[in-house]
Parts: sequence; C-alpha cells; structure tokens
Amino acid sequence: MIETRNLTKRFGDIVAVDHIDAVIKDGSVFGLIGTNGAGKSTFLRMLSGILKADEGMVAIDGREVYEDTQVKARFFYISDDQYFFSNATPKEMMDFYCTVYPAFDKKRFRHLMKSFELDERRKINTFSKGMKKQVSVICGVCAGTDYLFCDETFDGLDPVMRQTVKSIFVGDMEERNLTPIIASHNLRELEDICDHVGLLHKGGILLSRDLEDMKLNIHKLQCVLLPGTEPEDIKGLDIIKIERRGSLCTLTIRGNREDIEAGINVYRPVFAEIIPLTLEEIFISETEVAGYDIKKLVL
Amino acid sequence: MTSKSLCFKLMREDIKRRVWAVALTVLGLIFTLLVPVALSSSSYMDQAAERLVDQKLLIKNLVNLVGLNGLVIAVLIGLAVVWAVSGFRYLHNSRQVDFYHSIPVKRFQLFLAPFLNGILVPMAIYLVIQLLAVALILRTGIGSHELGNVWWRMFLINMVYYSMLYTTMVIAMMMTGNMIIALLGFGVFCGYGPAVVSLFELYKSTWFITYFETEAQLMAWKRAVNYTSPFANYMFSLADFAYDSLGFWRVAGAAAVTAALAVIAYGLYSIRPSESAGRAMTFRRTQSPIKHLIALPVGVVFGMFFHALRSTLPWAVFGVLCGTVLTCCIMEIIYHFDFRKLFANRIHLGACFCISLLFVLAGMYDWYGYDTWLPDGGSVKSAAVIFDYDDNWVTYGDVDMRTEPGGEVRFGWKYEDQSEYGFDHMFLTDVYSVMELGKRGVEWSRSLRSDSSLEYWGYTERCTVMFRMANGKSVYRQYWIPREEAKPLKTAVYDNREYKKGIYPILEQTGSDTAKVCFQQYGNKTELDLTGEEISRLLAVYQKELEELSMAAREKELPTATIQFRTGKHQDAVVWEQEEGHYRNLEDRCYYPIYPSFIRTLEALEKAGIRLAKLDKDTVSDIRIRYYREADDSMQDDEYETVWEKPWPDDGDGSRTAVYDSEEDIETLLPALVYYDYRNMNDYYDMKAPDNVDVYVTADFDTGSSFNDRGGRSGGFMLNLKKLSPEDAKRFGLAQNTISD
Repeated sequence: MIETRNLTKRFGDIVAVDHIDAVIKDGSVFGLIGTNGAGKSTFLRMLSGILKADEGMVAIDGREVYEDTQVKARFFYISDDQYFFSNATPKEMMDFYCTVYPAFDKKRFRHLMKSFELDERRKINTFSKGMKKQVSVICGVCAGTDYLFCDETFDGLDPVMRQTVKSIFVGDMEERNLTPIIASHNLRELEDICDHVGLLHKGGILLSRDLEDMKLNIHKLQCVLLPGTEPEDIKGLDIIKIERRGSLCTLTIRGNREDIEAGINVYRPVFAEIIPLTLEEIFISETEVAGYDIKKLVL
Repeated sequence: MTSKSLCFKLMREDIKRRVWAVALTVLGLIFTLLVPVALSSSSYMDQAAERLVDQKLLIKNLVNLVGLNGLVIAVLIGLAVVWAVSGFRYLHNSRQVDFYHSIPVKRFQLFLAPFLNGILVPMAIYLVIQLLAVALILRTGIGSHELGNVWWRMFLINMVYYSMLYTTMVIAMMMTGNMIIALLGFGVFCGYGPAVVSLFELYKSTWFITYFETEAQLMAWKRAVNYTSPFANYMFSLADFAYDSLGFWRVAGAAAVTAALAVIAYGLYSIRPSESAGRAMTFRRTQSPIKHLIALPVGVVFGMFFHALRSTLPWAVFGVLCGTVLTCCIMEIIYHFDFRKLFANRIHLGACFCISLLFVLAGMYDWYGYDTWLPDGGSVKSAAVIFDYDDNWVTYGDVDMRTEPGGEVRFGWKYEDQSEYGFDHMFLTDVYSVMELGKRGVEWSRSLRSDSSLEYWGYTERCTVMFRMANGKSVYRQYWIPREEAKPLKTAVYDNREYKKGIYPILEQTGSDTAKVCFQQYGNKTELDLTGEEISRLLAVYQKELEELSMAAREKELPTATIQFRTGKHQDAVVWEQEEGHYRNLEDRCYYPIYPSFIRTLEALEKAGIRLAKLDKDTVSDIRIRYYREADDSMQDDEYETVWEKPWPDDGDGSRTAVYDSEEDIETLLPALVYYDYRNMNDYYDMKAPDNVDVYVTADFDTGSSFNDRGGRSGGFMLNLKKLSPEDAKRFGLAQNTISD
C-alpha cells in the first residue's frame, strides 16, 4: 500500500503538490487525473523517489521511498517522455534494467517485443512516439515490480495498443497483484481500467474515491413525467442536476439504484430508465458539488 | 546483489554509453604521446646511426616526450572536462534525471560509477600508451638509466592533477543545471582565486604610491595563486617538476585535496535536487553570493581601469557602474535564462555598486592612510634603505650548481634581487636619515595624490625603505623624493658602514670562503697567486677600505682598477666554463672597484706583484674621437666647424673620426679621459660628458699589457668636460649643448 501524508512540493514560489494525503491500495488500478500543471507528474515523481518532498512523506508499506533502494525496487516509473540511452536498442535497455531490477523477466520481454512487433535490435531513436511508449511499457511490466507508475503512458498509443496494454495490466494484476498507478489528463482513457481515482487540481487532491463506490452512489435517470409534474416537484430524491429535452428529462441523482427507482415510481412517470454514468459525468457531478467546474478542470 | 558488484555493473554500463570518450582519450594520447615518440625514436635511430647529431640532446628530447610533454598535458586538461561533462551531463536533463533517480540504485552508487570511470579509464589508457612509448624509447637503445624515473613520475603527477581538475569540473556540474554554465563555473573555479589575488596586488600597487612589493610578498602572491586554483596549482607543480623541485608531499597533498574535492562533489550530488536539471544554478542559495563575489571585483577593476584612462573621479564612478551593472545583469540573465530579467534584483545591483565604489574611493583617496603612515622613530629598531639604480653593477646572488638527470653537473647563476639582499643584510640603527627620507616621501606622495600630473620620473629619486619595528614586524615603503632634497640624506646614509653591508655582498665574505683573487684593469685580467692567509689579509684590507669609502670620495674619484674575490664554488664554476668551452658568463661576475684612495689595498696588490697601468703621455700613443653629427639635430653647423673643417674622412655613417696623436693633444685630453666601466661603477663621480662622441685610446703599458680599443662604445672611454677648458673643448669639437651629467 502506498501512502502519502501531507505531501508537499514547491518549485520556488509555485506549490506543485499541496499537502496531499492519499492511500493507494495494492491490486487495484489507481487513476490520477488532472489538467496539465495540476501536479500529477510531480506527485508521481515524488512517489518514485525522484523528488524529495518539502513536507510530508511517501511510504510504501510503511517505508519511506526516498533513497530506499529496497522500496524503489518495488516499482517501475514510466515518465511521460521516457528516457532511453542514446543510440540504444530495446535489448540494450533490457540489459541495463536487468542490472538494476533483479526480477526483470527477459523471456517475457522478448515475447512481448515480438507480440508488439518491435525489433529489439533496432535503435530506439528510430522508433515512433507510440513505439517508444510500447517499449517503455514492456520494460515496465517485465521489471517484475509490485507497482507501475505510468505518467501519461496511454497518450500516444493507438486504441488497439491501448487496449492491449490495459489487458497486460489486468493480466499482471491477476497473476502477480500488480498495482498500476496511471496519471492522465484524459478521463475517458482511464474509465475502463481504473478502480480508484484521484483528482488533482492546483497541487491539491480534490477527491479520491473508488470508482465503483462513485458509480453505485450516483445515477442518471431518463424519464418522461406526467403532464403537470415538473422534475423540481419531485421530493425524496437527491437530484443534483436536471436537463430537459422536450418532455424527456435527464436527472442526475445521488443515491442507490433501488431508492431512486422507488422514489420516481411514486410520481408514476410515463417512462423512466436508469442509465450508467460515464466517469466524466461522475466527475462533473462530484466536482460541481465540491464547487468546481470540472469541464474547466479536466476536459 | 551486493552494492560492490552493482557498482561494477553500473561502471560497465556507463562505459558502454561513453565509448566515444574512450575513443577520444585513446586518439588524443596516441597523437600527442605515442606518435611523437615513434617519430622521434625513428629519427633518433637514423641520426644516431649516421652520428650526425648530439646524442644527449636527442635523448633529452625523447625523455621529455614521456616527461614534461605540453601536448599531453593540454590533452589531459581537455579530457578532464570531457569525462566530467559526459559522466554527469544527465543531471542537466530532467528526463535523464527522472530515469536515473527512479531506478533502485543508491545515489552514492549512481555518483561513484561514472566518477570512478572518469578517472580510472583515462588513467588505464594513459598508462598503456605511456608504457608503449617507454618501450619504443628503450627499443632505440637508450638505456633505462638514461630514461630515469621521469616517465612514471610524470604519469603520477599528471594523473593526480588530472583527477583534481576532473573533480573540480564534476563539482561545477553538480552546482549547475546547464552544461554551458558548468563550463563557465569551471572557469570560475580555475580563474577566480588567481584573479582576485592579483586584483588585490593590483589594487595596492595602483592606489598606494608608497607601496612596495617585496620578494616575500611576490612569493606570497604566487603561493596564493597556486593554492586558489587547481589549474594554477597544476602549472606551478609542472614548473617545479621541470626544475626538479617538486616534492612527494606536494603531489600527495594534491591527491588529498582531490579526495576532499571528491567528497564535496558527492555531498553536492546527494543534496542536489532532481528538479534543478536545466536551471542555471542547482542551489538557489548560491546565486546571490556567487553574483556578489564576481560583481564586486569586476566593479573595482572597471573603476580602476577607467580611472587609469582619465584619472578623475567621475570616470572612476562610471567604471564601477559599468562593471557592476554589466556583471549583475549578465548574471541575472544567466540565472533566469531570460534577457528581460537583467534588472531582476536592483537591490543587489545597488549594493554591489556601492561596495565596489567604496573600495575604489578608499584607494583613490587613501582612506586607509597607507601613504601617510610613518612610524614613530622610537618604535623602529633598525631600517634598510635601497636607492634605485645605485651601484647596480653589484652582482647579487650566488653560483647555482645543478645535476642533470644523466648525472652531468651544470653551473649557472642564481640571481638575487638587490632589494632583497639589502633587506636581509642592512641594519641601520641610526634611523634619523631614513625617517627624514620617509617624511619627504610622504610629503611628495601627498603632492602626487593631489596633482596626478606631477612629473616625477627623472626629477625624483626612488628609495625603498624597510622599517624593522620593535614589535618584530617589518614594514616596507617606497618613497619618491626630489633629488635635491634626497642628496644630503643619501650622503648621510651612504657614509654609514651599516648601509654598505647591505649593498656590497663582498663585505659579508670571509677569507675561508675565498678561493681565488683576480685583478682587472682596462680589461686585462690577472689571477693572483696567493696563499689562503694572504687572500684573507687582502680581503680584510679591501673590506675595510670599501666600508670607509665616503660619498665625498666617490664624487672626486673614479676606480682605478677592479678586484674579484672568488668563492670556492665560483672558482669551480669558472673552471667548468673554461673546460666546457662555454661562454664565460660567470667569470666576470663580482668584480669590485679599487679607488685611488684605497691605499692599503693597492699596497697589498703591489706586494702581490700587481703593477698598476697608468694612462700618460708615455703609454698613450693616440686618442681618437668619433663625432656623430646626427647625435643632435639641433646642433648648429658652426659648432661642428672645428672638426668638420678638418680633413678627416667621413666614416660613411654620418660620423667622422679625429685622431689626436700629438703629445700636446694627448696631454690635454688625458685628464678628461674616463673609462666607461669605471664610470659605470661610480654614478656619483662629478663629471659632464658630451653625448655625441665616442673616445678610443691606444696605449702600451709598461706592465706588459696594452690597450687598443678600436671597438664600439662599450669598454671604451668618455670625456669629462669638467677637466677641459672651454677653449680646449671647442678645439676638440665638443659641443656644450650635448653635454650630460
């Protein structure tokens, strides 16, 4: 389990990470979202022990990360622009990683390189941006670490490759309890993979929830009410948003599915259907409650 | 994995990525060491076979290639920078920093692997190439005894100083976040100390009129330069190595300093924030101190420079303003990588300007009171005073005997400064005259400070004074005093025996030190055949008379001959010069004048068989005077008439030579004849000589020696017009307006 307490990092006058308290459970995918400059990369670099916190601490299973090689051996950090040695080939990078990550799986590396149709003897600087991302992900998953810190890793991957990578993550989570921590500015990118999401804004964490909890606790109801009944008249439901399109009303309601169904049925709607919310919609709702306009923050 | 094996693995990985640096090192050393040795060896073998050249010289050249080889040293200095930059340049790139600092490797190992590679790899390459070069030299047939231990000593010294420079560059890399700034930082580390130390000296010599730099201060300056810069330290050590005076402990000290620098480098690495990659300075706290440390001296230098151009306060202020503004602005631009930030910190700029200006003004107006300081007579235990250009014929120093690497003994002369000798040997306990000189000097320095246009060259006399204070301190001052004011004080000082002990080294010599006595008159040398006892007696007599020589006597008399008391070492050197066929450089040193008033010395010499040659009508057969028309263009033709109307032919260079061989002419000219060498030994002799004539004398002495000076001016004669009547001067064409004292 990764835990940050009161984690703070300043660059001169800029507070990049502002007193963040967060807990990342093992075996789940933690999505870290926020706009550019929100502090995602800084947060990840602090988790990786690259940056030293000005205040607070980062610990993995109770041990501080900074300068503890045993703890650092438990994660692999993929930056948004991963560095490869100049003129190096994927094989040479593998050789280097073998030196520092004793559990590096060479066999799997070769297998994945083949699967991704990447030539392990070709110079990486001749690869496209997406191919470089693939190499870095392959290196990361083959390092055999408990945690994988990915900074905008899916940015630059085509949809097929994105799904492939996600499936690799899922497989590793099942097989060896891998915990990927993925930072992205794109909510849609994380929607189908994250178990837990943290929203960063201006260095602070706005919220950090399990996606399932959020999904179970908020719903979207599409309904056509009886003539003379207005959505504002509905009592007993925690409606946080009302949209109208002709007679069709779309209500975002906080609460569980059963209570919402029971609550709406009291008004005998002509038509009523509960539909799932996208991660984006959930965030819009949650952050609006928190007093922010999510569209300005993330999208 | 043990940290040791991880370190080796990291070193191996590091080398893989710096193969180009390895190649550069190999090529650099091959072309500056191995190829020149191969070429010279081949040339040596060819020439040695044909016996065309001086073998010793060839061997020396070959040994120098594996020894003090300037090209190798230059390449090593370059490589120190290259290896340091290539090893730690990742610190200046945030992508690379993220990569290295995220992997599970301790920072100590991340530092150690490239750091050690930067020393060990070039060392291994240099050692191999040096050994190959030595092997090539040995192959020519030159023995290992001739090669000596130069090659491995030089290898050791070069590697120690390579490591020092390399570590300095590593520190520069640690303290900066940009490679260009790191290179500038290296320049600052190497040059700042010597520059500031030199500025300190320049400041004193510029503003303090009475400041005098002693040999000890010069040595202190050299030491300060030596120990404030790794580069200067390297250069000084190489110079010492060349003179075989570089001790083991100096090199060991340099190695210890290198180790300390390595610890500092690691300390900086460990506290270096990763986010500093790409910034100018790694540690923001260092920015202001560095800026001030550079801006202040630059401001002072600019102030001094502009003051030197116009000698006015506004220009000095302008200079300080230029220096501080330029430096502060450039530093701010560098710190922020933004031209618009040039006035980012106006308070610092203002502070730098004010402090620099304060320094300049303090010097300009002598707020320290340096030039006006004069000790209380009672607090001075003794003093030494040296007058410029006085008795500059005296040779200071001693014979220097050196043993070359091949065992050959060589002699030379180790010079000593006149002032230094005087300060060491002169103890004037009656300091009244010296204090008076000081008072006049202080007055003159006040005048000079208030009116910088005052001319003092030629009009004043400079003397350097050392006050030995009762509290044990020694204070040095130089004073400029108008000649007329200085004359009586100077006479009083000269007539003091304690003064002469500080200017004539012969007075410190003992009979037991003396191996040989030589007498010289009009260029004819005679070695005296004396016993040790006779030598001691003669020396004692001479010393006494020299001590008693007064200024009044010197004004009236010129030396009549010279005498040399050779020490044992001096005698060995003279013999060596004669046997080796060298130019006789040492033989003519340390001759002292014999004045006609040195009666007892002359008697002793006569007893030793020396007969003095005399210039009189019986010995001189002719006196020739060569007149130069172009000596003074302002001379009127009628002034030449006397000579020019005579039938002597033009010499072809605008001069004419008149030969005076009649008894009457010779008798008239004889009293005015002054032998150049003797005049040079006595500047106080009261005489006036025309500038536009050379005088040659032909004489046959009854001592068996002769004098036929047909050469140039040196060794010839002058004419003292004070010994000629105006009519005679006119008759001999000696124009009055070209006469000098």
